[in-house]
Amino acid sequence: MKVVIFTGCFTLVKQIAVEVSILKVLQYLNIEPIVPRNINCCGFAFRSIYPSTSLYLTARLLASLHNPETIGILTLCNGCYLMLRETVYRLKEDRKLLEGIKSHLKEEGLELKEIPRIIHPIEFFHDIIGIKMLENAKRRQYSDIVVATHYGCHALRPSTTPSFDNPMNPSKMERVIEALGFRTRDYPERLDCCGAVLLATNPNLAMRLAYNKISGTSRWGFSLLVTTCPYCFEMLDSRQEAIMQMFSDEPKLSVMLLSQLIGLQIGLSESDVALNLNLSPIDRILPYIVKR
Amino acid sequence: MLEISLETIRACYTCFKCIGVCPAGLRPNLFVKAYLSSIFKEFRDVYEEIIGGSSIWSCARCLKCVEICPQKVPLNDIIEYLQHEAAKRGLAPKIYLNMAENTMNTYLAFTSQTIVSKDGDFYTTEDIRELLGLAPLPEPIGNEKFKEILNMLRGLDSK
Ligand code: SF4
Ligand code: SF4
Repeated sequence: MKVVIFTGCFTLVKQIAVEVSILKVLQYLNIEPIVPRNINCCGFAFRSIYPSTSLYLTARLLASLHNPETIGILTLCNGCYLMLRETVYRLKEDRKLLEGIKSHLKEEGLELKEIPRIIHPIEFFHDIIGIKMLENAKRRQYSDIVVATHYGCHALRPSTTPSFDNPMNPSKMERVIEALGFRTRDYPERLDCCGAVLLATNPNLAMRLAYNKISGTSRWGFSLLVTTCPYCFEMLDSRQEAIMQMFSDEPKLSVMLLSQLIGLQIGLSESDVALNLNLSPIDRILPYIVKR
Repeated sequence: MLEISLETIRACYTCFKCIGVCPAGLRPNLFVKAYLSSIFKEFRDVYEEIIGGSSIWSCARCLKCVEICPQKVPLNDIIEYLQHEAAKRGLAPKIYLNMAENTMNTYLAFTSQTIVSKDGDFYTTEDIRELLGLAPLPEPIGNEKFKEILNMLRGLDSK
């Protein structure tokens, strides 16, 4: 099996662990990743300011990333994932729009022959790799470790654009984590926003949203919070210390990427999944889940 | 820009559920009012206040208001419409304009960053990618046509 990997800008330049860990897990699962270099920004950040520009940028990705020998485009960032699934939806509904975009693409020597499948990492593990496979790959059962899931807003909402799970009550990440031998539990802040979109325009408010998410989640005694999105990871992991300091609080929530947790559980090493790039307090949980 | 049907906007019955869920403390129903006034010239003051103010740029795009709205008012499309109106008046946050400019010049919205590890080591994007055996960043070579199209589209979007 082959799959195209689309990192998006932010993973590419900043959240390197997102890319490293997924590539290592794919290698273990014997899936060949195609990592194209001719990528561009999806335009998410400036989509309201330059709507047709960002639509073109996303459509351009559909054309340049598509590879008919693969199962589709595994999209690592929630922002890019929203742009791609929305654009696919709009282009399928609107022939005229599609034709207009195709003619610009042609000027660039690109062709949009068919619309590829856009795959979210959670969907990839749940629907394509499958629960059975993950159950068989896991090394140990950890019934005392309870994991909080964080899907991120743009993985699922708005519900007017089709996604891979129920937008207001998703469960696929829970099933994946349970297949790996951990427990999960619902919590009031599960669908709350990490605030990342506001970093650019209102950083104080962005930090407040992230603080509410981190401190709220911590109340429920989880061992770990798991996400897939590089922006959510930036807020909840990389910036956790700064955020907690801003509100005179301490870092208290261990955060990992889903692909890191899967990697560790199938026997990859800490460096395989770039765990040295996690800045949240994961040390307390590591002795329980890392092969040493 | 997406077409927003007037009927769906008119459906707002000011139940304020959207206010209840907004983590940014905004009043999304006011955006509905502002949108209406951009068409009917009523509530002109609301429109002006919102376009010129900072509230539309304080939306975290969590899309919770969209999901909670019992009348299925497309609040996300409305907020984007208003941001676009503000942008046409030159009121868009500069950081977004820079990101679009970067994209046109380099394909990416961001340039190289500093990455810190748990042990306190600092890396540039390029160094850590090489160290971990990842492909280098895309090179903006032969992107003249790309730039031309993006420039043209940005011009259209600004009108
Ligand atoms: S939730 Fe919907 S109907 Fe209620 S006030 Fe907000 S926009 Fe109007
Ligand atoms: S999408 Fe924006 S306006 Fe709506 S609830 Fe979220 S932050 Fe508030």
